[in-house]
Order: sequence, then structure tokens, then C-alpha cells
Amino acid sequence: MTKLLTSLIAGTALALSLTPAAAETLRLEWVMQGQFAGPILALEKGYYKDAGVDVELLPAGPDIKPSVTVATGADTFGIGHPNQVISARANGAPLVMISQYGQKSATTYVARKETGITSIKDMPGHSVGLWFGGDEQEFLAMLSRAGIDQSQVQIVSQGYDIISWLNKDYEVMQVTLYNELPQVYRQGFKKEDLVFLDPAEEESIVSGGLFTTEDEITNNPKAVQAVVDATLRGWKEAIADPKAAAEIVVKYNSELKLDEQIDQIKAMGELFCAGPTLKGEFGKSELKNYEVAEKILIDAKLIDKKIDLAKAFTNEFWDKAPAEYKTIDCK
Amino acid sequence: MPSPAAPPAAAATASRFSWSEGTLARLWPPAVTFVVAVVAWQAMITAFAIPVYVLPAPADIWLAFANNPVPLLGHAGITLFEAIAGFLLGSLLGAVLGTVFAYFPVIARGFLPYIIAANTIPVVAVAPIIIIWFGHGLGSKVAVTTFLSFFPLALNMMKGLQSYDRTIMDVFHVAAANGPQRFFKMRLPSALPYVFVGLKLNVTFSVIGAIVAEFVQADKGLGFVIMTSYRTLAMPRLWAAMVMSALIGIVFFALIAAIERLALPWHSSHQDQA
Repeated sequence: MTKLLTSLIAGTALALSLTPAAAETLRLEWVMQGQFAGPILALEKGYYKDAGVDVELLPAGPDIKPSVTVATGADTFGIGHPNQVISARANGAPLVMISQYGQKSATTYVARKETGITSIKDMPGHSVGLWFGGDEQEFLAMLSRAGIDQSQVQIVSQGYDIISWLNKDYEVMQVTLYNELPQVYRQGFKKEDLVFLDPAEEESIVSGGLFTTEDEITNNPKAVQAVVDATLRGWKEAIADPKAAAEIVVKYNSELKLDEQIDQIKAMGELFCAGPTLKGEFGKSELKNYEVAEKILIDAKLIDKKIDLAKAFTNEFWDKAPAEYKTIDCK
Repeated sequence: MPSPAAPPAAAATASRFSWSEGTLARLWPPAVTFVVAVVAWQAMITAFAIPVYVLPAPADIWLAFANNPVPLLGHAGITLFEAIAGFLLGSLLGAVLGTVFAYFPVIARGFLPYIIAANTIPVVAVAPIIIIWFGHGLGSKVAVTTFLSFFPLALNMMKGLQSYDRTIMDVFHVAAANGPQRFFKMRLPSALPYVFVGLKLNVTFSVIGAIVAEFVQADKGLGFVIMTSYRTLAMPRLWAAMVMSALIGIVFFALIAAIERLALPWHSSHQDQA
């Protein structure tokens, strides 16, 4: 029954990741799409090979989490967020973030203007759709910082689509900047029709980082350096020319539409252009992001004790990456 | 109806002990297997130092439950409710439709191909659609389990009602039995073995359906716990939820099997008890 289901899922994940002839695998966070234009472009143009490493990119899906596949050894590298690395370490899996691309939260919260909601303080008596299973913690932290008790807000667990919000099942919807928000615009909504509840710095969990295990860093530092360098290079080019990058991305997933992918890559650029990136330090990890993430996890009782945050990330490989890959186009 | 044949060996002790002897004989082999398996598993984890996030040891799984049982039991209750509600609703609706099919073969011929086709749609494909239609609460999960429980009962009820002994039916005609008498005293009892086959299938489908529907979208239930634990690498908790869902399925199945034994003592499949 459920054991069969879970072992089928695990088996599929393993099968997906055990097929490579490549020495290293990089598990993306979702299907092949503009969200991962950097690694995809780097693979297509041979940057990983140039840097001296043989990498295979593997897509994920609703049931495959890179933090799990990398922790269990099925994959070498993964794309993820500080809270995932912290949870993993708290549960005994020694993951380490080696580069951080996104410097803002990947998610924001939209509502129609007519709901009358103008800021988080207006939430009591209204409804919000969130992605449960970990991604809801950001909004719950926002409520808590605004002094609002969760019982005053109707919180709905939403699926991976905007249909329920279009049907007005709930008023505020959690969206990613690069996926659901462009979908909302494509449905005809304009920025002027919408209200955005953006997480403040103290509440946001940055997204889109590259991680691996302590073992890989100890045993294979050359491969780790190569993957860090080549991925930075891929991203720099993708952000500089989103259209050319999108043309490469759609070759890897026939379900994608070119103009949607261009939008997605541009949205990724927006995510990157904050924090260290604005100082010419694209790809650098910062301790404060981990402190924010850990506090959110502890307040939500997702982990029960603090960990040594300094071990959760390292800039030792980023430091040695070529300087020209650390400056990207931010408009 | 033929009465059960008592096996010769039990005849001598066919007393108040025979029930408990039978149960004990059935229970001790699986119990011993369980204990041996758990001990071997625990030993293997320790001997090979397998990390807890690859395969937790039985002790870790037990602790994940025992350290904080109340929320897990709450989630189990939600999943159990979704499974049972859908099971009852779907089985009832299916039984009604199956009866219509048995009495009106033309309708059966018209709808059966589509019913059979719909029955082959995997639940992972159907659950997201049902959730879009029925919203985000328990209702959508019950709708999924109802959908899954509907077809097996419709088909089995129809087959069961068509499978009566024609010779015995002649006796009913000769005795001038009317429609309801023929249905309740002849056709329905003949259909019950088929119905119970369908019900036992539905137990499995409704538990799986509840868990899968929760995978797709939920904020409560064992499927939700499994997904959340997976995403945060809290593997002992994931296994604890898995074990609990298996237990729900086993207990539910045993319940239906027990009801079947009570309802159909005359059926040949129950006549070989030790």
C-alpha cells in the first residue's frame, strides 16, 4: 500500500539518478526550466567540461527533493535553500551550501486590490493559500512578526497551480516570482490590479543555492570548485542574454514555451540582484541568511535545537572562482 | 445452505477452546516473524552504521512516535476518517449502481465500457483534478476515496447479482416468490461473496487514495506527515507515519474480513478453519 508507493517513489528517484554515465550529478529543484538556466547553459556550452568535471543535470518534481537525494548519496550536488541545509544538518545529514545565487526570497504573496488588503497587518479575517511542507514558514513568520495570531487568518494548503486563487477560493496566494507570478500576469492581471505582501529581510529565506555534502568537499575538492565556477559562468551569460538562454532551455524540456522561459529567466535575475550581488559578489553565501532561516525553523518547531551555522555553508570555493563570473547584469 | 464441515482433528476438542486455539495458531507465526525481522533490522543498522536518514532503525521509528504520539494519532485519525467515509459512500453508491446494472442489462451495456475505463485511471492523475473541483478540505480527500471505492463495488455487485444458482431460482418461482423476496432472500445473499471481494479491494483503495490525495495537497493526515517529514529529512517520523498507515489498512481489512466471516459462515471459503 503506502510502503509500495513510497518505495516506488524512492526507486524512481534512484533509477533517475543512477542512470548517468557522468561522474557527478546535479539535481535541480524542479523540472528543467528557466529557473535553472545557469546550469543548463553551462552544460550545453561545455563549461563544466572546460572546468574539468563531467556533470549530468537531473530534474526533480513534487516528490523528489534534492536535499534528500544528495544526503542519501544518490546525487552529488543539488539546488536548494538554507532552511533545507539547516534541517538536513539538524537531522544528521552533513549538507553544505557552496554557492548562493538567489539573494531574495523566491516567493511573494499576491491579492486582488478589491480584497481591501494593503499590508500584512490587514490579514486578520482574510484567507491565504500557502504551500505546506516547509514553504509556509515564511508567511507564518511574517504574521508572527506583525503580531497576528494564526487563528485569526484562514490558512489554506494550496496545490501547485493558481487555479484555486483564480476561482477566489482564497484571497492571498503564495507565488514564486519566476513561475506563478508570471502565470498570474498572463491571465490578464496587471501590477496595478494587485497587492503584494513582500517578506522583509528578517523574514525571507533566500532561495536557489548550490549544495553538496561534507564528504564530497573533502574527497573531491577539484570537482566542487569546477562545478561552482562553471555554474557561475552559466548564470552570468544567462542573465546577460535571457532570450538566447531561453532558446537553450526549451531544448531540454519540450513542454516549455519560449516567451514564458524568457520571463522566467528575467525573474531569476531579479532574485539574484540583491545583497552581495549588487557589490559584484554574485554567488556568495552570507551568515545572516542562515540566522534568519534557523530562527524561522526553531520558532516553527521544525528543528528542536540550533546547529553550528558556520558549518552549513562555505565560501572557500566561491572565493577562488574567477572574478569576472561574480558580476552580473542588474538593471 | 450446507453447514461447515468440522475438521476431524478439532472434533475431539470442539469445545470452548477451539476458537482460541484457532486464533492462536493463526497469530503466532506472523508475530514471531515480526519480532525476528525487527531484531534483525535493528542489528543490521548498528552493525553497518547506516545513517538514520537512509534507513532508520526500529528504535528510531518507535521513538519518533513515542516522543510525541498525540499529533501523529491526530493525523492518523484524519486519514482514517477520509478512508472510511469514502469507503462507505463509494461502496454504497457502487452497490446501488451495480444493482441497476444487474436488473437493466441494456443500461449496463451502455455504461460498462466507460466505467471500466474510468476504473483504470490512476489515482495520482485523478486526485489533483478532484481537489480542484472539491476544494482544499477533507471533502476533496473523501471525494477521491469515494471515487476509488465506487467502481469495484459497482462491478462486483452486478456480477454477484447475476451469479445466482438458476436451479434454486426456479424453486423460488415455483413457490411464487415476488420480486423483493427473490432479491433479498436469493440474489442478494448470492451476491454477498462478490460484494465482500469488492469491499476488501475498496479497503486498500480507500487507504491508498486518502494518502495519495494528501500527497497532492493537504495540511493534515498521514500523507501530509509523510511529505513534510520527507522534505525536512526527518526520516524516522516518515517511517512512523508509513507504519501507521499500513496498520490502518491492516486493521480495516481485518475488520471487513471478520464481518465477512460473520455474514457468510455458509460460504465454502470459510469452511477450512483449523
